[in-house]
Amino acid sequence: MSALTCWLLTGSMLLGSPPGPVNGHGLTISFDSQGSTGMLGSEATPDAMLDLGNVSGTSEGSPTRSQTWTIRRSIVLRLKSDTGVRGPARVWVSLASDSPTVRVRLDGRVLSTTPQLISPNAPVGRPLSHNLEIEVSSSAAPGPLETILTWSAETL
Amino acid sequence: MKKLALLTLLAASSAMAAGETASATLTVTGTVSGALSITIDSAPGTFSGGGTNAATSDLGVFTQFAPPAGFTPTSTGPSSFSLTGAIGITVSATNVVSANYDLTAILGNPAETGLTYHLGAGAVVVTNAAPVTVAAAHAYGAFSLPWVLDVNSTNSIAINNSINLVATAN
Repeated sequence: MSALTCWLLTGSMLLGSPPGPVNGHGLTISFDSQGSTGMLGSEATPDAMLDLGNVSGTSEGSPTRSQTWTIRRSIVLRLKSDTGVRGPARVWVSLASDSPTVRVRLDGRVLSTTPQLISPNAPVGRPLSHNLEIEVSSSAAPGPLETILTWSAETL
Repeated sequence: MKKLALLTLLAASSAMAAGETASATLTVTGTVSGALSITIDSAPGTFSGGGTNAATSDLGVFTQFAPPAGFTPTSTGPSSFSLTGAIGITVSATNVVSANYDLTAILGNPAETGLTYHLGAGAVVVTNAAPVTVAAAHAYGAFSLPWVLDVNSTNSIAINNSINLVATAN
């Protein structure tokens, strides 16, 4: 009975969780600056940067008297397979850390340090567009803003 | 029964392990800048553009005895009277480390002959010469900015002016 319980736990983890940070199994994730709004550095690599520049409630068209304001950008990524796999993949996204003054949403889903399944059937080889929203508290002190999104994908 | 369950789970595990995997990070950076905003919410006369930072108040044709809506007339002499009203404004701050702000005003054009503009609790005279402080260390949010027009003329006055307000965080 104890052996069966052990297998059940293992099976559950594999089915419900994203893969660990392992690259080089034929599948790669890259970001596409052509379709993304905002400057993307280091495109076509797994580690990219989106520089928002100077942002404020005014520059982002926030309504006055609002407790928060939102930065909206489009993110385009592409899954590529060296082995020719074209089948769908699942894509998870999580944050490297949570912030009390910033809320990050992708396609309307609030992100956290727990991976969320964003695309259950993402095509390999085709661009995938996602809407990134960063909600900033109006009471947050001005200064640098940084949030790191960790993406994981696995073909089905 | 136990064997069947074990076999099923093993098959699922094996299928997952065969999938290709990848990971990536997207670092989003930027600098949050503080910002103040002013909206005009109301004003005497026929008001339009409320809730924006560029509103219009059409005072129409008026006399001491038929003042524009929102103004209260007071006779101040044989050929003079005052109109007392208020401009509803909201000053909001986002990402600003500040408890209050100063509000200055300046006219876009010279005051019309026979007309004097006063703003603020202290009835500060506003001209087009230089900005004057009409509210000091004021808390953020909505408030009514007192507006008084002194009319002193025996002739008709054509009014075509603008009041430019600037809020500065303290």
